Amino acid sequence: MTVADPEDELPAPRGPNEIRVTLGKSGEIDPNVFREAITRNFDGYGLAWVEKLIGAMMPGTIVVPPLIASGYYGKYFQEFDHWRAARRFMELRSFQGVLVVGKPALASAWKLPNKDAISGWYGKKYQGNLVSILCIDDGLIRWIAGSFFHLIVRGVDPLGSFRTWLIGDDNAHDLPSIEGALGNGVSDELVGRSRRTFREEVRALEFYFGPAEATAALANVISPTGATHRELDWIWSYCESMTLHFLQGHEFGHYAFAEGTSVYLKEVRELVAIVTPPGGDGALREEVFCDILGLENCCFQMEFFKVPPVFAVFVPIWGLSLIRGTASSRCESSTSPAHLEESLLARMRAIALYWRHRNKLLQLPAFGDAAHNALHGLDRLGLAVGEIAARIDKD
Amino acid sequence: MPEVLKIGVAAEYDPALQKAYEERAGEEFTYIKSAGITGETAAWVVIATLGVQALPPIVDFVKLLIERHQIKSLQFGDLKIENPSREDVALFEEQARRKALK
Repeated sequence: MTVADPEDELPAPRGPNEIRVTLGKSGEIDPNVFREAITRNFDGYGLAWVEKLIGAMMPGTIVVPPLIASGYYGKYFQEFDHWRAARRFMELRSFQGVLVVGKPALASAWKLPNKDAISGWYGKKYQGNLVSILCIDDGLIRWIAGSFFHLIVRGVDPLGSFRTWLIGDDNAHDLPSIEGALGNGVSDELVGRSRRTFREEVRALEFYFGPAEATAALANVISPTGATHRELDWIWSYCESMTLHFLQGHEFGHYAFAEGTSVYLKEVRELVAIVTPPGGDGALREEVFCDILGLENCCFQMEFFKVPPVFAVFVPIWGLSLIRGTASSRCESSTSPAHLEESLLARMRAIALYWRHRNKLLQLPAFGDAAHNALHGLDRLGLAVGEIAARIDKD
Repeated sequence: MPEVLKIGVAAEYDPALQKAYEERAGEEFTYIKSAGITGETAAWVVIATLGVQALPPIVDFVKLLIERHQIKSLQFGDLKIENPSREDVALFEEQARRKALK
């Protein structure tokens, strides 16, 4: 038996041109890394009820087996657990994250009563009266991260690289509608404005960590002289990381909102009261609470792993503006699309206020300014790209 | 996989209603509240086992929800009914019975 290099045990991050995971330096699945069958599903871990429930709630949705999901995003899941541990969330453990592939691209949190018939990993019973499923669609992660990377971060021909990425993403048959939308709805002017805002804030926030290898790589990626494949993958992983951490933190927020009683969560609730627009109802306050937990997760990862701060500020706002663009196509909604759009805009404003409030704590006003500029610089483009994503979902 | 009945219930749905059903049918169903990333919220009752014998209590349960204005939708296989009426329940019952006997 060969001994695997410890680095081989971690899946390589998926770069902009790598849609599927590669494991190990050779790019092949190493049998010594995965001692269990790669196809093992939730049933194999005593979690058959998860697949049964998702099959009932969202027929036709594919539940990604845990090992495959870990292959895609395993490092980020570990990072998420670091944040939970650091913020003393470990008592909140009656939840299960599930990566799915389905239409339309979504993320949602479900709450159901705990009962004997359901259990966690290897048959361990959940604690408390409530169990939560945090469901995140791989398509949503890729849409947010991919469109941000290609349209806003990259310097050279962003429309072209976005189009190429979409073709590589098995969407070739959708290209006529995308071409139309890119030509009319998402003009070069609109993309250019968003990119300029991003670049200005890259410089404004650079001082936070000072000169670092990551910011040097980012400078190469956004310069016309170009970047190496490794640098592109590196910067891509920041887009992916902030997308996943925001979504995962947000969905975890719904569970924490119902069950969490810690001092830290009390502070988050106080912050919600400050940043939520006056007159906001209970549903909006819960969403803002969840967004703040998503941002707190991003902030933690930014500080812990030295992620250039501009990604922590911009990606969540980009994600929500893109989701806002898909709101009008939601068909199972109990709420009108106009109300959803309005609520999403209120949440984006609350996010900008969060950074302003946080910068008071850190004495760094640049964060609040960057978030304000991101809100105004990305909004229209996010709406337009969201509409494209919704159209592809519907086709 | 057994055919699943998915009932969309109103925000004011009283989960205590399920007790009467469970006592009569001898099985549990799942009450789920969902919150989407867009801010959409919904509540569902999911019943996975739909044998012929289990049908009468389920039908009574659905009728009770209609009576109390606590139902928003009913989905069973290809059948999807928004704001179902008592007449719609007969349609669901017929389809469920046919599938159960297959």
